[in-house]
Amino acid sequence: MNPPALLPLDDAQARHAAESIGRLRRVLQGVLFGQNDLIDLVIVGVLARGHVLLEGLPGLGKTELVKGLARALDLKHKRVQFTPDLLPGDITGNPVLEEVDGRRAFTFQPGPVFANILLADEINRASPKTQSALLEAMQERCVTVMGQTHPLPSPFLVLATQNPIELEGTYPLPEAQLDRFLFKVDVPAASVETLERIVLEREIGIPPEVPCVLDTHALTTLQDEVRRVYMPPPVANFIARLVAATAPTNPLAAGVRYGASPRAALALSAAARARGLCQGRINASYEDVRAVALPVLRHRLVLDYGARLEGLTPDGIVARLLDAVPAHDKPLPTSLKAAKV
Amino acid sequence: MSIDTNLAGGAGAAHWERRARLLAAEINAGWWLSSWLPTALAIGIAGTFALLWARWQAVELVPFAWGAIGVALVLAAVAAWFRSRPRFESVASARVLLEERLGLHARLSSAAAGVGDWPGRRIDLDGRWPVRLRATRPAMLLAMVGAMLTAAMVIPVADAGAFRRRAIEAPADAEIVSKWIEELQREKAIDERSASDVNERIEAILERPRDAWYEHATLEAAGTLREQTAADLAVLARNLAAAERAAADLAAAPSGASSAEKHRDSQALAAAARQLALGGMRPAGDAGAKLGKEAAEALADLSPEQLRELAAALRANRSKLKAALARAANFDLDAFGSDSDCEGCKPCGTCKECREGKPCKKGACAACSRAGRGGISRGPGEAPMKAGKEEDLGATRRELVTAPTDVERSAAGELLDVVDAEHAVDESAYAGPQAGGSIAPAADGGGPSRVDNLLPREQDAVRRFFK
Repeated sequence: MNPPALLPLDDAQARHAAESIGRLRRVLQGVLFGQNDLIDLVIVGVLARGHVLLEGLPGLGKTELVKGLARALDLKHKRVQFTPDLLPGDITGNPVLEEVDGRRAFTFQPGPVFANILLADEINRASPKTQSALLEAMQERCVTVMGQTHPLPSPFLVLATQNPIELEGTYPLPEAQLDRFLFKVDVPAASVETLERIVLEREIGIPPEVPCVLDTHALTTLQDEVRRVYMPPPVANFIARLVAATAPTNPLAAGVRYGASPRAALALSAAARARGLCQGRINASYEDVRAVALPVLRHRLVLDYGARLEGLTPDGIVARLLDAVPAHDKPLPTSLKAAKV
Repeated sequence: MSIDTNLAGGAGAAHWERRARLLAAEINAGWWLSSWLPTALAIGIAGTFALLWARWQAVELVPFAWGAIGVALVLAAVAAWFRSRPRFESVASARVLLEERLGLHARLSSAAAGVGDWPGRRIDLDGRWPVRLRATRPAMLLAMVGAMLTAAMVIPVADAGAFRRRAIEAPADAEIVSKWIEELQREKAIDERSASDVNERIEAILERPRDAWYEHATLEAAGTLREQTAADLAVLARNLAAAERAAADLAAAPSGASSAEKHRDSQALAAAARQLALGGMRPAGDAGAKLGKEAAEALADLSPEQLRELAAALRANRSKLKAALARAANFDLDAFGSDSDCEGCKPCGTCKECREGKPCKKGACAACSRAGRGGISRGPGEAPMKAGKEEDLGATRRELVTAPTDVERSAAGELLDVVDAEHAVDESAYAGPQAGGSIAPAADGGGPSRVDNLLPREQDAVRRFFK
């Protein structure tokens, strides 16, 4: 059921929103070459008020993407390089003893988390304690230090990266914390054409020019419009069946130890709505769900040892589920066959 | 990617809703068909047997069999509809299939929920349809049912009625006698007791097991009954004629006739009456009643008028008897005799035959006393292969085999022949080399033949012959 208080969008509003998003997309495509899917997912994540976990090798342009996004949206951004000795206060901020008006008192010094966009580089290298401090801020969108709660600026988006090859000295994020990320996106290596374009158009140390195409208000408006994108009951049913199919008891999800949670269904819904708006539509569709299912579900599926030994991956299982779970939930009689249109 | 949002308001709604309804109907028809077809196949198989059975039993049952098949198919169709109903596709569900397969991005569901407008009709999607009919299996099943039913109508089937018609029928003689009695009763030519006596005898024959109806004893009994009945009827006719003649003579006797003549006539009438009363067949009606009531001695005292009436009644009874038997099949009226055959038998009234009601030999006329009136009709006829005394089959006669004979296909006897005669030993025949010691001396007459003198083919023939 869609929230009754929110009026659905009309087509004109949807088209206008899509035009704004299109401008943002074009700007980001000028910052990060050859990563259109990544850019689209990041935009969808921003619009859906979700956080994005990027997994890929260093030097693929993750930081550039965050910087470009911040500049294009005229947002304040921070970058934190996570290390094992990083403390929670280094993220959230620390109380500092100061003398004010002849009295000594603790004054809260906000940490880097107090930004609109936070790039948490190599998040899995920090200790679990530090990780949980950031993840709590991501979920609650506020920081509590010495009993005092400090709200984070809005919009607030965390783009975290983790390096898949440096396993030594890392602390893998627990499943409960991974669940807080809307997307986990694999950043692919650049193709030859992309590299050629980078070589031709970029220089080390000189950041690209990024025009501001949306201000904070416009971004907030877009985020509100995402909530007004209509979720048709059949699409909601499709999401529900897709998430339910990840349960270990389901034969389709053989090899899954823990399936996706209801939060995953909410994430799918929000991402599908955001993608629908990106496409200029007033409603989410089955295609939107399918497009965002992989980044939404892949980090929420925990495989058992047998599956991992067999080489199964969450991506493969999600792909299998997408093939097996149809949008139309009723079977057809044997005298009919679904036609490819 | 964007969809065509060329909205057409109500037209778009009508277009897509019509397509959704059509799709739902097609899917539901598919469910119904998949539920109905197995039952239809079963009905087809059962119907095939029903048709074959109907054609075997009676052709009149075939329309009923078709009707039953039709009703069963209709009932199965209704049952299939109820059975498949839980799986039926709603229009909303069909809309989902439609929008998903045609890439309409859930716009139909949204529009149906009142969010956004219905998408306009898209020419490029007009020819597209989310499902495709897989008609092979249903068509094969239906064709199989049709072929089975057609085969059931085409395959030659023997009529069971023919078997029934070939059922064991009562022996022909019993049937014939039954027909005779039927005709006689219809004509009221014999009394009921005589008829029931004969019918009881027929029933006694038919009470035997059907398998035994054509045994020799049964056939013999039926044949005897037929002969006996025919003889009784002939006797009845003859006695009626004799009684009529006696009554007529008595009535016509002049008043001045001698008492001896009257006594003789009255004795003849009394004898005829007695024979009628004691015969196997008794007349029906007035004649029988009158003759039965009057004592033989009292017949002489009847007035001429009464005697004439009696004669008329006897004549009428005889006419009825003859008319009935003329209609009855297989009755030899020649054996029955004609009115003119009898030249006027005068039963003596005193002999043993007269007392027992049999034809009087003493007083029989020339026609009635002729030989060959026994009425025996059985025996050898003119047909070939008749049963009878075995004749000389000519086995002892010598016949020359003149025709070219295929030795391979001939029996030994055809080649060697069988002759009753003395052996004609040719003493001058060459008996083989004598000097070197013969191992195959010529056979003496009556001695065993040495088969090693024969060719192998001849040895085989000899061996077969003696085997």
